[in-house]
Amino acid sequence: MKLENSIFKIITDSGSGTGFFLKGYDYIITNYHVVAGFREVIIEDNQKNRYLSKVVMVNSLVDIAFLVVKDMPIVEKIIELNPNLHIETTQEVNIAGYPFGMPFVITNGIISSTKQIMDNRYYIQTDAAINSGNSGGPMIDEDNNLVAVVNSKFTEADNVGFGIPFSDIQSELDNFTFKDEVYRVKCISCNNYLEKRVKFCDKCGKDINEKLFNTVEKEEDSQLTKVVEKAIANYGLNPKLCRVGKEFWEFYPKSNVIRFFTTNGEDSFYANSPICSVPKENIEEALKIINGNKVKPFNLGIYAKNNTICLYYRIFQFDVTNDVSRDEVMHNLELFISKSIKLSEYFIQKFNADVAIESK
Amino acid sequence: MEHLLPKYYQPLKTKKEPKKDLSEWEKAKKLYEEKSFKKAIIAVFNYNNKNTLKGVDLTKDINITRFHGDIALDISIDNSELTVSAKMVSIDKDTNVVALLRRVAEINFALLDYVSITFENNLLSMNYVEKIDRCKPLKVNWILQEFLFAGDEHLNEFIEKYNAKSLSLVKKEELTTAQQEKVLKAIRGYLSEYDSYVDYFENNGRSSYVWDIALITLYKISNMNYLNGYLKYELINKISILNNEKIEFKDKLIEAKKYIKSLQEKSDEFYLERMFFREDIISLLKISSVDILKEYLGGYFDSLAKYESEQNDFAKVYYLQVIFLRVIYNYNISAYQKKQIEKALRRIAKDNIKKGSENLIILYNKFMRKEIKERYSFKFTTAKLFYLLIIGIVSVEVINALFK
Repeated sequence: MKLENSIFKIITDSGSGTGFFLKGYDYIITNYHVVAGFREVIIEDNQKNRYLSKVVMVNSLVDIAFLVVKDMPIVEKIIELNPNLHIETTQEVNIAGYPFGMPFVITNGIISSTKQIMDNRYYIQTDAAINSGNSGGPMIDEDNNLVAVVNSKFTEADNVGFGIPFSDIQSELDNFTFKDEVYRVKCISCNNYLEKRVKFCDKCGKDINEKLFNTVEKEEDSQLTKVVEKAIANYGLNPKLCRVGKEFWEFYPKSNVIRFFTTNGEDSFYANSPICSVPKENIEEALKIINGNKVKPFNLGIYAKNNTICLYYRIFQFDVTNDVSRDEVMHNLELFISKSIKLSEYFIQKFNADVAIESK
Repeated sequence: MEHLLPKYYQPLKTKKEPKKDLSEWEKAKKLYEEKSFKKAIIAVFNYNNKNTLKGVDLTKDINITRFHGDIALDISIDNSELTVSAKMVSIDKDTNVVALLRRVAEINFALLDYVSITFENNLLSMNYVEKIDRCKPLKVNWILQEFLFAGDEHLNEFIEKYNAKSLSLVKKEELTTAQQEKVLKAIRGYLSEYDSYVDYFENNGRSSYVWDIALITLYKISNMNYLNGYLKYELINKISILNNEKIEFKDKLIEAKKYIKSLQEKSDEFYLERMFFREDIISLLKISSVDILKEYLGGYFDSLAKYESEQNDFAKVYYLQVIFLRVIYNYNISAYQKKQIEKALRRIAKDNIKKGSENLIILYNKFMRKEIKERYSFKFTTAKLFYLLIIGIVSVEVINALFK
């Protein structure tokens, strides 16, 4: 059983965080601030498979959110919530997650304080390395018991990170009994759950911050986005799961990664895909193929930094949206995905090349 | 030494610089919008150099070969496509094929955008074909520049580093013996002055100035546009390393010192082999105007003000030299503007540091006030005109005409 199988990267248009499953529960738990403003987010597992998930509960006071995800294969849940867990200072803890959006990482430290008070709430303080992207991830002991949910660190201090205590998570889970996929905001005073935008809680009268019902205002999709996402959909993939930022798509139709993106301040649109590493044998023949202009309208090149053969397609942005070239570009992007898979297989088989380091 | 400043030798004049017509750019954009695609492409060529299509029958399909630096560019324009191609080098038994082809694949991926270098029939070449209705002026210009940059930067790298075979397509115009001697004297002068200044700076606890003198030395040599081949590429590369803020100061200094030492050790023959006048169909320098130059130079105002308040003429004079050499090196400035900068740079070698700094500040302020225009303009004050009238150089009719 691998710990990383039940811990996920959470991707939104605003950035990324971490979320995890607890044994016996169906929700992915993360921080409210990771998903604030979104009703739907992307969950990526350790194998880089992506799923759409819905935000079903947010508690802004505790900074906790619950997500449900359908269509995900059964996951072995390893982290346990033990209501009788005893923790003490100097006890070792592990922080698991996806700092800076990187692949899965575990860092280790000790509990520096079991009851650190900040903004009138108690937190568990640790000296383990916590970075942007760890938010929402689990802080666990050596037996994989949940100690806390990571939620902040002091940006100008080293080795000072905080987590929401496991007891708070227990309360949140005990209170939330809904089984549907409706978005609900928890009243911070009376534990009432609100489904519709209200100015105050209909049960206890506490003011409800209307921002909790807001969704991040999305700019209307650019013409370029529409063309690119149509090409991805034509290939048979869900463009929503491929979009990782504004005019930036990253996805794995098979093992190798495909990236479509524009660059700020430039007029170019890029499609890139590392297909395999540079072969160690019969290299002259491989290089002649790479430089032989045989994959038009695409090109092959070598990314020297990681010794990888890449398939790429670079065009002017206005050619993506221009009436005269749009359909051709859309077709080419669809073709690019299948070409990348075929070329990857070809080089690996013919030249015994290793898979590209970025492949899954 | 304290009262001396590095010498600046004016580079040789060349008649082969492109004859730019800036007004053609707007024309090209308008023609493209009007769907006069072929005419729009022609306007882009005229914008870059009026001589490129001189004498060509533009009513028919165009098929021309033009030279730029070390490459011969084959250009075809008909009513359906624009085709540009350039053969670069061939390979033979002496060529290090694997290293060369790996380098080509790396260049294609990391350094080129739309054009790529391809290997077919033992030949490396660049090719670009585009349907004419997709040839926006911006795209055409970009593609042409990419061809020429790749030619300038890589063709000689392939020959000198990997023993690829030159196709010798370009006719080189040699310098006269007198010109060669003048250039060699200038190069040796810069390199020997570099040594003296480095010694001086390091012995006087001013080792941070070594960066200035190294950069000035490399700028001056690279500014000689008749030094070609891989040497040109190396100079551009080392200058960009020195200017790269992401590289640690001490590391880039070590690199520059090592490179300049290697230049000092090169024989006269090394320089003579790479010394010839080149033809350019496009200037690859940045577009400039009095406003662009004002904005660029204005970016250095705070640093200069700091040196001024510290009364550090020494720092000021070196900083200004670097700034003005960057203007010459990076911007497509007019002959008049270039002359003014070169005059000031030549003069400072004769001045002491205080005087040198004052003169450069005067020039800096003139650029900031946009007084150094693209062309020399005759500005007569009424008093001057009256004086000229008195001494009989101008007539009343001329003065009337001037004020019309």
